[in-house]
Amino acid sequence: METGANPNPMLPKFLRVVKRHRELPDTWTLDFDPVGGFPFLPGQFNMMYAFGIGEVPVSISGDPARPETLVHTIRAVGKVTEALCAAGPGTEVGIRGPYGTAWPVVEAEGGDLLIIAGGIGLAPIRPALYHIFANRSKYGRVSILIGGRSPEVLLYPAEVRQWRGRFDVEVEVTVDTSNQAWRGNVGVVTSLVRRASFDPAVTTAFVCGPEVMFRYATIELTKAGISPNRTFVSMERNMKCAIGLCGHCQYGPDFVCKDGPVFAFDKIERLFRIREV
Amino acid sequence: MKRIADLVAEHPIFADLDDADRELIAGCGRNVTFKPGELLTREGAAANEFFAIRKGKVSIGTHVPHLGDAVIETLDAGDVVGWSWLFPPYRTHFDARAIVATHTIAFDGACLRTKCESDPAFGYKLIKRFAAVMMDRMQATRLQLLDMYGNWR
Amino acid sequence: MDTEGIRDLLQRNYENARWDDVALRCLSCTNCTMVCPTCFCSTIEDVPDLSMENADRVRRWDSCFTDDFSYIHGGNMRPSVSSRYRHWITHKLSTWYDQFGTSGCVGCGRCITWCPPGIDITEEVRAIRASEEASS
Repeated sequence: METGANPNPMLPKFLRVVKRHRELPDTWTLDFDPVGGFPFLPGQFNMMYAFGIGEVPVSISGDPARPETLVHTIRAVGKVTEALCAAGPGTEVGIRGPYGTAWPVVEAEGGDLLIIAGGIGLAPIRPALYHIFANRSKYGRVSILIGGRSPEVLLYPAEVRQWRGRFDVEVEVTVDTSNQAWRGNVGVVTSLVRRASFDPAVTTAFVCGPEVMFRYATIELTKAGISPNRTFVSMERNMKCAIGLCGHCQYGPDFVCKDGPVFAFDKIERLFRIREV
Repeated sequence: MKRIADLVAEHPIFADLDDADRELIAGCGRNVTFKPGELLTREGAAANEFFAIRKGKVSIGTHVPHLGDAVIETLDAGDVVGWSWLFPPYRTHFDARAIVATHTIAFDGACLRTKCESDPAFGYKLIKRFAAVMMDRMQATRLQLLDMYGNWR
Repeated sequence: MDTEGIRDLLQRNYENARWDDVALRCLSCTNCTMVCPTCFCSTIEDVPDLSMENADRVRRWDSCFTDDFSYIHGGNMRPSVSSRYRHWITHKLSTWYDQFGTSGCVGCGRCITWCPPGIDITEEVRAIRASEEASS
């Protein structure tokens, strides 16, 4: 349980949006500048509360080395996220967190990294990418495979272009549908795995995206020889308390809010193949 | 100067075939390069050949009236383009277009079919490889059809 | 109820046909979870006053048998009654050990008493156990 400045973990901090930026037609990024900063680990999430509407878990998508700015990229998919996406500068949002487990960026040092992000799944994994870029010499080969629906709705296009310009990471982007104007890959993101260069024996994989995408991605990773205990996935479930007390996010013996959202795949592999757990 | 058989040996589709089989395949192959924008196969045309991509990138697509050229998938070094040469009426179903300068080994379909018919054991090995390619593409296409990142509401 | 090896029994029977059988009887009415002394699931409600100036956050009981318990954007993780019943009993009698080192069942029998169609948690465990013995 949290202690110190915010002794009641259910009590949100009230932060004002300082910047709002449209990423895609249904996706916005909100910046906050919390007093004293907002330290977090890459992969962690906050409970975001739109007043009068409700509270939902949203991953943090900013740079963990720059805790002075709290960044959330949000896709409007329901009542609460619609309200959050509409929150312009000056709007107060309730925020509590950070909660949950992190991408094992330190444990993965010394080996190769294979990162697979699909759709909005790039947002929760971006903090890990920032960390990896800032500590690039600690890793072997780094491959980032990004999947999207179509070229117009790829997330963070300017940044991805910048990453592709780096000589020390391999960035491949693919879309499910396109026309001739798109010069990049067309095809499902899992098909990029066999084109990436990595040594499976020393590779750690991070996978983030819709659950059905990473179900197939993990099959591809296992085929490629990356062991399930070095494959990490980020799970998504309904959450009310985010501190392992309300029962909503329970997944087998685990609570996604505190035992996850980032899980070593071997820990959930069995349940993962069972429906409606 | 590399022989076609050497190029065949380097391509993953022919990996784990023995030298004799590779020689047989190479006898039907030739080196072909395509400039960006050039077609490897055209929808509706006779499917006389298939291509093993050595270098480059190829799109598989078709023309959708008033919307333009749709791309279904892209293929890279290590992939093969074309399987319509296997079955009658030997007609290509989609356009295959080089996106960048693309180096391929082109194989004469009729030549390979003749060899498959006269040597069924060889034919089985070759068809098994193509069946694996078809399965991979089919599974990938099914995942694309799922529209995983779409909003299902 | 025979609790011998019950933790593993239920965790290896996620796909037992018995869950579909019990789903034919279960009304997903939430009674069992409301009367269970160890069920702890809760939700949060915000209750604003008439001035809309102040709001209280209130915690109230929730149940894993409701439709929106596992709702995330656009869908429900456990749409079928069989998956909800399985979730409840597996948590109560099995994964509770993983979380708290003990059973989540105190043996009070209230869930049996208050079940409209009379589903008996002990009978369901017996049926799961019997199905394993029959197939071994």
